[in-house]
Amino acid sequence: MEISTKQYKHCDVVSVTGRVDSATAPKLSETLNTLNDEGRFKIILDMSGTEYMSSAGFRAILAAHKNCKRYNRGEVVLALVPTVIYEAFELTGMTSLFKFFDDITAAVGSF
Amino acid sequence: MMQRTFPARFEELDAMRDFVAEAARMFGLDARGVYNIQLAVDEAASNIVEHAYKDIPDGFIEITCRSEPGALTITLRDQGESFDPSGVEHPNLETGLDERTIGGLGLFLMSKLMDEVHFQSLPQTGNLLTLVKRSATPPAPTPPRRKRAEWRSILDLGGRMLETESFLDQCRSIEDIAVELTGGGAQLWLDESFFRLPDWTESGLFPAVPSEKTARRAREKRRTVRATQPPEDVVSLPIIAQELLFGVLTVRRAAQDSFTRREIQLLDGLARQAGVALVAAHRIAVERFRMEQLNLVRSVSSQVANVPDVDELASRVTRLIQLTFKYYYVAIFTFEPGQQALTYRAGAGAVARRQGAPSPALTVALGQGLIGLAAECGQEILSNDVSQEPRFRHIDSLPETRSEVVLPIKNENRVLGILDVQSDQLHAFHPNDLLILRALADSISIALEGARLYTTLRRRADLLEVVAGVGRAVTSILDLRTMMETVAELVFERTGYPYVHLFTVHPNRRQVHYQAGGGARSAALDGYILNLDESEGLIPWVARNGQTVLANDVSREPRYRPSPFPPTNTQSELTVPLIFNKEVVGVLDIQSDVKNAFTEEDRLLFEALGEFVAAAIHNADLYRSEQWRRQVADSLREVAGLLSANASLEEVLDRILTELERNLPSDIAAIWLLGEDDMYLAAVHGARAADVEMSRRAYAESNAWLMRALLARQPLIRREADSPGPSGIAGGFSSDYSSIAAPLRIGDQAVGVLNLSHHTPGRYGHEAQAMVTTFASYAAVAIENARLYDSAQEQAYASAALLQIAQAVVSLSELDDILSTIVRVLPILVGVERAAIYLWDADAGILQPAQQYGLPEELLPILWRTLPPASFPLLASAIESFQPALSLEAHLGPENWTNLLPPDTADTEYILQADDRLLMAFPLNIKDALFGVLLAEEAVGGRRFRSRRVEILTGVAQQAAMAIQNDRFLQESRARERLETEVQLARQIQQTFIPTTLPTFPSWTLSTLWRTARQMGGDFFDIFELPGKRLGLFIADVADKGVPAALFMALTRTLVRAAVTEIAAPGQALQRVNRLLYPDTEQGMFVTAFYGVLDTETGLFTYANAGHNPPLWVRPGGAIKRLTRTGMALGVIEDLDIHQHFITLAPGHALLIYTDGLTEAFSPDGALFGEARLIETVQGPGMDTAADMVEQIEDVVNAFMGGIPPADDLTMVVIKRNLQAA
Repeated sequence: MEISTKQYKHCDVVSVTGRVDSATAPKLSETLNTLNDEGRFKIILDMSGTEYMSSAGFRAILAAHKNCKRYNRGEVVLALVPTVIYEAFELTGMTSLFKFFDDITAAVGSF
Repeated sequence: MMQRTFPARFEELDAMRDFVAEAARMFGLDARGVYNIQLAVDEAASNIVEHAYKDIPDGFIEITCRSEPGALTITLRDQGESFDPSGVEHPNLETGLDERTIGGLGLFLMSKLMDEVHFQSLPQTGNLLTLVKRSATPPAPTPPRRKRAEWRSILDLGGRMLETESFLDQCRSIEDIAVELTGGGAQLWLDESFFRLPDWTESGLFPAVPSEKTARRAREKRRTVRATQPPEDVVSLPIIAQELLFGVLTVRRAAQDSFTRREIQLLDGLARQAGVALVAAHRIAVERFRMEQLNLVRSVSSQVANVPDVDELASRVTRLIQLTFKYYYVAIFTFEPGQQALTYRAGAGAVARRQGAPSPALTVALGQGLIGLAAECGQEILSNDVSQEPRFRHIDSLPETRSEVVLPIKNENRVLGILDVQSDQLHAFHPNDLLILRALADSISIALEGARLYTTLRRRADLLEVVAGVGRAVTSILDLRTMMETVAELVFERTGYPYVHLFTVHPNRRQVHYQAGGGARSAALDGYILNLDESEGLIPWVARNGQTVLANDVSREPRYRPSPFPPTNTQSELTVPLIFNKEVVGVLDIQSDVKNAFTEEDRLLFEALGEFVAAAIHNADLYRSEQWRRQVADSLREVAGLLSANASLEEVLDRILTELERNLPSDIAAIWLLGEDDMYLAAVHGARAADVEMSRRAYAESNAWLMRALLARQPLIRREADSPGPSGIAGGFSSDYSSIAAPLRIGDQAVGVLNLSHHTPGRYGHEAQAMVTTFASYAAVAIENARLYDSAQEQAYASAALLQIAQAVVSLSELDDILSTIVRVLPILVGVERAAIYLWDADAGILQPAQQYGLPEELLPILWRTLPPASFPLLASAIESFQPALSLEAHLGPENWTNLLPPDTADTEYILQADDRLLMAFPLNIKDALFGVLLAEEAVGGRRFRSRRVEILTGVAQQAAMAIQNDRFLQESRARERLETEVQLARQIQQTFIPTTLPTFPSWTLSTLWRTARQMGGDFFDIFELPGKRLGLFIADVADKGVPAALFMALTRTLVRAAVTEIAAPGQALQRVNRLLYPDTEQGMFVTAFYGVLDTETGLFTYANAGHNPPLWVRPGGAIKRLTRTGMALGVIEDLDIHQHFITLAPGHALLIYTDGLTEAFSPDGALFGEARLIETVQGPGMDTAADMVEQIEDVVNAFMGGIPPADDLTMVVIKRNLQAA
């Protein structure tokens, strides 16, 4: 799994490529926490390069999302989520909790 | 079926997903289906890692994928805690974000993604999680049983068999076709040994020979056999391929429906086709098996390749092999270079799971048993039946071993170890197995070599870390003991040697001291001291020679001496000297319970480490001596503080000993002082004073040692040959004990000896010498101080005593009172227990009791009566010789006093130094006139100040004598005498009031005259400067004479001085003086006073005149004004009203202030000088300055008086302003 972040004026785009599982999810959490620690709570998760994500990844995103939404200071939105992963999201009922976007620009624009 | 074992780690999830993805694809799932299987297995495995193996490292997960038509079954097996995922509550998907829990998602996903999830926990097999995915399309329904073209179905056989998964299914399909073809019953027998693969878990699928008779015959004859045995027609067809017969197909049908020829031909075709198909399928199976096995080897190899620790490696390899190949027991032995035996490293067995690990021999000698043999010859040994193998060694813990293969683990030609594999079956090792085991042995050898290399490097790294740690410790810890403890702990813990000991070497004391260490002996070693000159033992040898000794087999080291402390299992020892600046300061000793524990490299390393520690010991020594110096400085300061705080000698000496003990080793510390002619013990620590004092008295040579020290210029350090000192004798020390003695000197005079002793040899060196010298000089100062203090006290005490007596003598008029006071005051003042004064009746020649204090009541009839001198020889001696008579036998008691004789010796010095109390008799005489005798008994502890006391008593005796004489004289002339005395006294008092110097001001001259009459008058004056360039002029005349007048003057003057500083106005000042004076005036005493304040700038003169005769204001041209009184004389009435006037003294003006002695001077014919004559005089010429005026007036008065002595005091004060302003 590789993670790169790009800072925009109002938000940050976190691109996750490769596979996110119990072994790699902590790194994702860490990245998201670091952003939060820096006072950045508007986060777009670019999953166009994400090949695989297990519940460990979901947990990381959910935890970050919860933290970001506190005091209405922001949220985590998901962009370009591959179908298989989206289906898993659906199975867990998490699709109702997140905003999904089909392109990054729209996601950036949403903030 | 696919199976693989994965280490239970998150990092393996990738591999697990790849593995199940393959199975899912083979099962025919599309990409999305494959993804979901991966996801489900990931969640399951993550859960196992996270929960089942939560506290268990190095667990494994065995994943098996079984693909059946319509269902893909995946099982995950683990040995961790039983954790049933189906018991986890599913998250509530309807809740919002805030309520949404983070956990439970994975298992929920897993259950959603799979069609079935089962969990089973069995103690023997572990936890088994079964996941089932059914294919979306149901399996193709078995085609309805219909007659197909027979040949077609025969030709289909190959394809059908390839589709089937198991060998049995293959057999079933052959039978199925036979049934299809004939509609009868079909039974296949196969030669199992041909097909059997090592991974077959089931056995005995087929009997060794066919049960059917026809089948047996067909097998034997290798051709079709038909037997029509009503009610059945049976045909057995051999299955042959490539000339090999490996099965028989038997078909039967009811006899009435016997096989047609064509049917038999078909069956024959089926048999041939089945033979080819079976061989093909077998080949594929073998191929697949090999692949699988090779995969396993790869997996094992990859898992062990990077295990750095040999034991860990061996443990993992054996577990993996055992688990993967299901052998009965797998073990690894390693062969360490330089050893003659193999070391057991790890083993894993099927039994181990149930019964705990077997306990095989920990070492196996070369050539011993199969393992030893294989190691010796480097060859693999296979025993297909261990009961037939004479070299096989049966091990109780492995009772079921039937066959065994022992494979050497070799790297090139070196045997590194043995892989021992045992099976509970005969002939368990198929050539394929052997290939795999060999491959594994090769992998292990690489891993083992790697691990060894790693271990070596690791060890080297560890040791370097130890060196670094020691480096850190020695640079950061300054306390020697702590530093050495840290170093020993580091070496002990990091190197793993069972005994690590650090010693310090003390060449002066010829000792080696244990300091710190690790291991079973370290507690016992605490405080252990070795003799440096011990001939045996590595440590003393190394300490002496400064060379490392490495004894890899102590039994062959002649210098080796076993440790006096258990356990006695040392096999090898490395002893490294710690050398700093070519001096051995310590020894690092490391011992091991195995032989050959140390390499040359270790030696170099520990030598390097030793240098660090040596430097550190040196540093710590420096630090310690620095600290010691500071402590010494503190101690010195303490003592110096005490000295300046005027503490008593005892206190100071005690503190000196305490401080010395803090800084130097000392068992007994003593300070001896030189008395009049001998030493006495002034202070001692560590022994009873009496014992030490006794030792000195009892042993002359011990005294000699002290005397030598007393006379020495430098502190003496005792040598063994020296005779022991008092401390050594009192302490019972052995002859080589240490002692240092420094002389205490005041200037050039030796006053005592400071002596420290320690029961062990070699304790005192230069530092001790320097320090003892310093403390000795402090002690000397203290003694000197104390002596000065004593003598000062003595002086003060003597003065006080005499003064008190003198006061008593002068203040009391009655002789009885005086003498009574004397006998009572003496015990209080001069350390006398009892005192008595007898008066000498010269006429009768007897002594009369006068006053006594403290004589025992019952002895009064004897002692306190009229005594003829002869009845009290001591008193007689005193009055006869006019010298004090002293007896040393006061302790005999007052009842014996009359028997005491004065010592005939004149050696008063001896008497003064004696310990016993004195009884003293002092004659009361003035010159030859004897008045009586004073008897005094010394109080306890009277030796102190004795000579001074005798002097005082002598003085007191004189005073008493004078008092008696006075009393006699004064009987007659008391009044006159007293008057004389009084006048003199009063005059003296008066004189002290009169200012001796006069202030000077520009533009003014000031002059005074104060002449006293023979009979004392009451004149006095005072001139003082006031703030603001003002001048106070005060003159007074007390209307009385003698001492009372003088005292009244003194009082008045003091009150005036006080009043003028507070009150500027002269009138008010005098009022204040009056008010204060009034209560003290008595018997009509009063004082006339004139007080004026002159502003020397302006000439303004403000004055008040309290009844004084008026001063004269003299202006140029002779104009006179009298400054008459402004109020009444002082001391007459309480509330006096005194006004004040002012005049201005212009240039040329003068003021004459005087007392009535001037105007009331008499001429020889009795005429008064009078004011008129005075005015006439001052109006005369030549009065330019104040001094001129005073001189001329005096001349005129003297002339007038004509030489008769003045009757009264005469006082003048003149101040005159210069004509020209300055």
